Amino acid sequence: MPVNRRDFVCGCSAAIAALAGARFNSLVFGQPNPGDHPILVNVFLRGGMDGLNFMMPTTNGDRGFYEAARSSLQVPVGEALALPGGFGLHPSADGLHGLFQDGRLALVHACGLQTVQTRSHFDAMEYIELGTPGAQSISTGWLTRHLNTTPGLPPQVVLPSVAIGSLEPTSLQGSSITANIGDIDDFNLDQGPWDWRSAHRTSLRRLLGNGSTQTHVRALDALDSADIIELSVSGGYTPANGAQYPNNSLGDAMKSVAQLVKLDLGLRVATIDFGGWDTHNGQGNGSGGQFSSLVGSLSDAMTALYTDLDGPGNPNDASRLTIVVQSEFGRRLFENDDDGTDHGYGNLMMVLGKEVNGGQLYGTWPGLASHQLFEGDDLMVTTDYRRVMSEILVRRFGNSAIDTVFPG
Amino acid sequence: MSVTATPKRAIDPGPDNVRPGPRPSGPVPFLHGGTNPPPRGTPPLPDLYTIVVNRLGYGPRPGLRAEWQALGPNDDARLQAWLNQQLAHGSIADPEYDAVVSAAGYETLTKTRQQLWQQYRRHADWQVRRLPIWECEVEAIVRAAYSRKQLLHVMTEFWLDHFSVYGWESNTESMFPDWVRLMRTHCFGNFRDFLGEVARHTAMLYYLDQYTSSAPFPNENYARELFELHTMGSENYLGVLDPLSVPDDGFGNPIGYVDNDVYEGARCLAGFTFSDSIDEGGDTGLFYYRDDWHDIGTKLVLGDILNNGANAPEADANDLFDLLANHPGTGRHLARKLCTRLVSDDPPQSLVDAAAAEWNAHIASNDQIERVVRLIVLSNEFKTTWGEKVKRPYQLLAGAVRATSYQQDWAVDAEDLSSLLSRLDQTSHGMFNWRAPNGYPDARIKWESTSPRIMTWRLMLWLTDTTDDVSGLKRLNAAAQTPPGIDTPTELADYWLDRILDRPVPAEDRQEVIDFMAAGFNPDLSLDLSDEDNHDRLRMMVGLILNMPENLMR
Repeated sequence: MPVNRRDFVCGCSAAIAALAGARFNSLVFGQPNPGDHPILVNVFLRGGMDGLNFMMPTTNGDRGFYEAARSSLQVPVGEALALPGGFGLHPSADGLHGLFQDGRLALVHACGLQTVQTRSHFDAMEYIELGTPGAQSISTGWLTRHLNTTPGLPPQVVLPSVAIGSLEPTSLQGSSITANIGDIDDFNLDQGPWDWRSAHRTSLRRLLGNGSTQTHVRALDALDSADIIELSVSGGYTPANGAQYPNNSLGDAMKSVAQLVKLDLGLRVATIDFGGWDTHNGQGNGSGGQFSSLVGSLSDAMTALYTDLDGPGNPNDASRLTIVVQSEFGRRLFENDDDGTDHGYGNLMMVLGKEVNGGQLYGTWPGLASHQLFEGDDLMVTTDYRRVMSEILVRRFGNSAIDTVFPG
Repeated sequence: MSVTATPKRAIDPGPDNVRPGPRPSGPVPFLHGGTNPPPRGTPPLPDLYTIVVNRLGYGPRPGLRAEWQALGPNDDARLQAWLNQQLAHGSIADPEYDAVVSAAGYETLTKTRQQLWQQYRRHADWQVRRLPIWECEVEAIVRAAYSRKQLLHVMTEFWLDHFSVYGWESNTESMFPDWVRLMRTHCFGNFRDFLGEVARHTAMLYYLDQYTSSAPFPNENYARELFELHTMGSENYLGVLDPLSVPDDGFGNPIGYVDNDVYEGARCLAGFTFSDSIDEGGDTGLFYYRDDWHDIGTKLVLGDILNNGANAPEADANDLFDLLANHPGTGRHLARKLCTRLVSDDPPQSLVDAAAAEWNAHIASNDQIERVVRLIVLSNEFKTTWGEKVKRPYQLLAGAVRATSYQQDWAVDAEDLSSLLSRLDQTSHGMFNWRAPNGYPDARIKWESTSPRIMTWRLMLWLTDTTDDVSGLKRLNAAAQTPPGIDTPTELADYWLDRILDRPVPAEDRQEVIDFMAAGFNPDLSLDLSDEDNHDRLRMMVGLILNMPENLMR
């Protein structure tokens, strides 16, 4: 092959939505080389990541509220990794802390669904991923609409978007050009009696072309994806620059993204799901517990991906990359009686990339005093997550069709 | 055998096989070779037998169509008779399933809850602790493949998704046989009874953290999913609102629930746990109510003030279950989910409304759920909808075993079985393996995405080429499964298309399968199926039929 995938509907809206750029002018990117298209990696932490133990007050005025609310779950000041403003990072996030100090990682306070409040995992994820907080009627995800409106995306891009994970996320719903890949090394039809595998594939392709039902059409898309991946991925993969991916599913997912970036198949958007954050009990504090190991995995895997892509050449692959990390909501300030935390509201977001103006905290910290909390319980949302995404789309991708990506 | 230009097996569907469709109406020329293909995107409506075996069961098996035909003079009568049989599942003899289970030698599936706890959960060896869920995992495939109680299992699968519990952790893995049994016992019964049993089951108490929840700061995990997933549904969630500001629906019910209802629900439930070594109830794993963990204060739930006070064990929780089960929103939520499972991802509102009305009219009946299932299955919408859903990977696997008589030893430690199961896991539809409490998606948009599609195709192809080390035979022994005298590519294609799909297929699809089997030679020349290469080709043709779109729809 390669396969001519699809003609894109290119965005032509000249209007930059009021959302974009209004707040994060300082989260600026350098000028990308026009021939070197940018890549967005959206990491979604499923379950409601406890941002208040990921980045907690250490020496600022909110430390007292934090300690009072979390007598058993608090991360001790002495263990936290120092950040500006009297905040600290969870001790297991040492890799991310290094990237922050190198100016590659930006942290944004108190993000989330600013226009609608829900403590339902599933509603919150749908709102965020559809890009329409408060409504679930749109048929496409926000990243699908971004791909459909990305300017300058040539019609013959082989693999513009991938979803690493077992099922396609809602953010890429309705995209016929997205390959949803679990295990990249098994993403093929290399099974059955050997002599007839090729003939099976040819016949299957014809059978899929015989009909026009949704089942036929989507199965044909899947077969296209398998052709592309199988032809492109062979002989395994060796990370560069001594990058060490953690030996778990998140590490494998990040490694697959690096591999696809380097294959130069035209990748623009990748999503990675990382679950397990619904820590209602036994969450653990600084150095121990399930939360600590989740943070460690996330930090190690992101650090490995960045290191792997930060090879020779200028600009190099790391400079094309923007990784944005989010969760559906944060968790309650107050721990429950099970050494866990229940569903909350505002949460931090992270943006990592060589062109990110990192090493700083962005957004408005709303405070932890009772009157500053949402409903007296949760960190308030001061930044709509769409503002962070919009800035990335406008500044990094030159996509000004924000009204289409985030309608309403 | 003679060379013949026309297939021996006529593809004449017969009068009952051509049902008028919603669009296009009248006979379906598509079936006969198609100068007039249906409008884009709409698969032709097959006969009612096909709809029943693929949507209320796990697919065709040899002989099943003949049984269907014998059920009555026309399809409506047959459907009535079939449904009556399936709902009286206690009277269905199941010799083939019984024989497979007996040969497999499962030991945990009939154990009581307390036996599972004491003999497995408390065992020192992790492989013994895990044996119950391993047996459940394999038995689920065996049941779908071999049991004649197909609707019972379809509904058990529905409720396993609805009350989804991740099976592969310490306090669920050993208890799973009893959990599946609970689903099977109540799947046609009364929802309020069902809900109360689910709330008291060790697996659910553990999975959603209820077992450690105590006053004054109860764990909200189970209470939230009880409202959002198990009963009223997120469509009735009004978010973070003042409970006193929620309007009434005109019949004395608040129109939805708010966060405060969840918090108050968690207070009602505090003290629901199971008894282990530290409890007075003893180390049984059985439900145990700890009054000292309960919050005896007044609660406000769904507009009702609960004032049970002290010395009223479980009263708050029972009131909560009553309020939730009786709320009309619960009926609407469950009606939509049932219609979605049995008819279409986007079921007609008229059908959902009718099902919800039936649900709410029989709120206290012992056969509440059965009545709703009956209404949906006998509806016109059920009979006139096809291809709006796709089979999930588990159904495709069970269907392949059914249609091809795949020869597998189903004992948990049998050769190649773990390989089969890990390949099912790769499709994203491994058994009891969904971690979030919302259950496996029941939406084609998820299962048609590339990873589950590719991984399911791979699984089907893998099935075509495994070998039993003892007998040296292929497990999918297509040559042995083909009746004598059928040996030309045309005959082989027709035979296996009919065996797997059990209905006519579009002429161009049939031609493609014939062409595959002919491999460039005369399709009407006999092949020697004892030849290894010919058998390879035949098994791959079976894989092609399993993988073709006509086999993916339901």
